[in-house]
Amino acid sequence: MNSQKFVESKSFRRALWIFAVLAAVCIIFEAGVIVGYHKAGFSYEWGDNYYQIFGGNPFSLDSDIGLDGPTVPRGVTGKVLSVTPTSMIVSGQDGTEKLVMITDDTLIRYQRDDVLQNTLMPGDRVVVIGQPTANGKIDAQLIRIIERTTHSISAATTTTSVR
Amino acid sequence: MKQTLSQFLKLHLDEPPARLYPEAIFLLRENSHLQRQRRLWALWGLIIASSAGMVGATLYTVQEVARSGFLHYVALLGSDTSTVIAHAKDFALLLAESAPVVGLALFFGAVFLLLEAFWFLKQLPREVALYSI
Repeated sequence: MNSQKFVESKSFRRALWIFAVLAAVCIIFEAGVIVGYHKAGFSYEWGDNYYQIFGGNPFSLDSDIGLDGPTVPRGVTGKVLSVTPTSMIVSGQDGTEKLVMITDDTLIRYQRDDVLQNTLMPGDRVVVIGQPTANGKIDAQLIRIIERTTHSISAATTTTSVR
Repeated sequence: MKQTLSQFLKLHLDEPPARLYPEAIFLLRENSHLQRQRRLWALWGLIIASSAGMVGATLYTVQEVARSGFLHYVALLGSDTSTVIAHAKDFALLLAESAPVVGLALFFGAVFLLLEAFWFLKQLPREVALYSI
């Protein structure tokens, strides 16, 4: 069988498909390993630092920190529990509380505007994207306020950026 | 040797009864019909189970989406496109981490089983399906 016939043969096409499927399986597996590694690593750090960040007694019998499985490390969506100038605690929809660090580079947005950090109120519903830190916190890159408790945002607080 | 064998057969073997072949053929047909019927019932069982599985998987996926906030993250693509693009790597990983993978895998598995069962059902002879009803 010459090379032209071999390339056009059904066996060749079948072999191509097998290699394509194997490559796809390997890529998906590797993606799963990467995602799983990040989730597990963050969840471990988060659980390890939970009582240092949020308080409570780690040796108490009813010390359930609400973590059913690995939690999402690069973001959180839920209700703001408390706010300080440099951080806020968000109660996530997955039942976990996360400490979100607000830096100078953090962009805070409500509707079409950039707003100041001091407009964040407990009770606001937010979506946060950020980078996980080594101690189970999230360095926020974007905080999107999706629902406010107080509907009055004064014009003074609406600026182009937090910076 | 041939002579001996034919003599042996004449001496020791009776003629087969006249109804042997029709009865054997009837039994074979009946057996194959029963097998097809069993397959039909198994397929209907699979269809019902996979339909129930599909409903369960859908509910689980909805729950998973609600818990992870996946749709809120996806919505950022529309509302904060430039910021999302600026942090594309983190955003892609965030979507991958919050995607309802288990629910979707269960759902697609159930859909696959349902379609396969329908395909096998279509392969069965029509009279089997009618006979069993």
